[in-house]
Amino acid sequence: MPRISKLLKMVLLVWIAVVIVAAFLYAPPDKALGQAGRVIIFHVPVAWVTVLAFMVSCVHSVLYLRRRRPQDDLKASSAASLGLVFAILATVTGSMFARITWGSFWNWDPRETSILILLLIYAAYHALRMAIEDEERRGRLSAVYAIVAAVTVPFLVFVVPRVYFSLHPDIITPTGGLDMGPRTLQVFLASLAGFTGLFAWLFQLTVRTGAMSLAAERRSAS
Amino acid sequence: MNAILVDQVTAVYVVLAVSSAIFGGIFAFVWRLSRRARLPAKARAMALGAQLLMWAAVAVLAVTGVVGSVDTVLILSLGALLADWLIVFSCLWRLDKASKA
Repeated sequence: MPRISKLLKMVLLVWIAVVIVAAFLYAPPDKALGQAGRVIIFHVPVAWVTVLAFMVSCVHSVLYLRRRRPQDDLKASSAASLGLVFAILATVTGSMFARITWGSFWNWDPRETSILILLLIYAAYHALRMAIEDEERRGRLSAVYAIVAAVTVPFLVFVVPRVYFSLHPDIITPTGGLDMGPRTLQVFLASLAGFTGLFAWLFQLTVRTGAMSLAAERRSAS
Repeated sequence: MNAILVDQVTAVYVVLAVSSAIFGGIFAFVWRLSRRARLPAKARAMALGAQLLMWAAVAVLAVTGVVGSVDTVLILSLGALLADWLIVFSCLWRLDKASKA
């Protein structure tokens, strides 16, 4: 492992450990939500990684259509897989939070409904990939699908929950600022950075192991 | 409108449950990747065992409600989550090394 890469991973280890400590001991309880307000420090970065992963998938899909390199297709599908995992985590953790604030796990709130639609859209992406055997055709069709799917992401994540009345707490104020105290804001931003770093590492590993299993498949086929 | 329907100790347990679910989900994904990378079965079993024990500890804590003070639950949650993160990190580290070999 090159020294710089090793160092970055050790930084990530310490960074997320510090975020965890700060989330419980440094950030004060929320004025309205009390101790449960700490959920934001973990739940929102997960939702952020979901959006980031789907955007990365879109970028690599565009690159695939331009260059037709299998690595781009692998990167696009790896990012979409990670996005789906993080979307599931955001939905599950969001519904746990809904239980203690709204009294039930699922309320068909615009935020819940839009993340569910997003989950279905990207589940369909993987279903599509599994349905096509020819590598080149699979890459081309799923790249087009991923680009179209990515267009829906900003609407479903940022627009729909703000257009319709939602019970979901919004951390973004009407003036564009973040509605949280200075200490919570520091920990929240550190958490966003930490989860972004974690995504970068997970993405690298998903691509690498994907390449390994592809190579193994080709070896056994020949 | 949002209002907390539970007491503050339960609210901390919910934060622990949410964050533990996040690290657990990431662990499950990494564990799947480690199968793909053909990591030794013993290493994978040990990691899974550690993660399951961690969840069992969290569940026992939350279900029995043996701890009643907010400060103590905060410290316990912090410890549990740090252990969870260490399990995830060690899995990532092993996988990183194995996938480069």
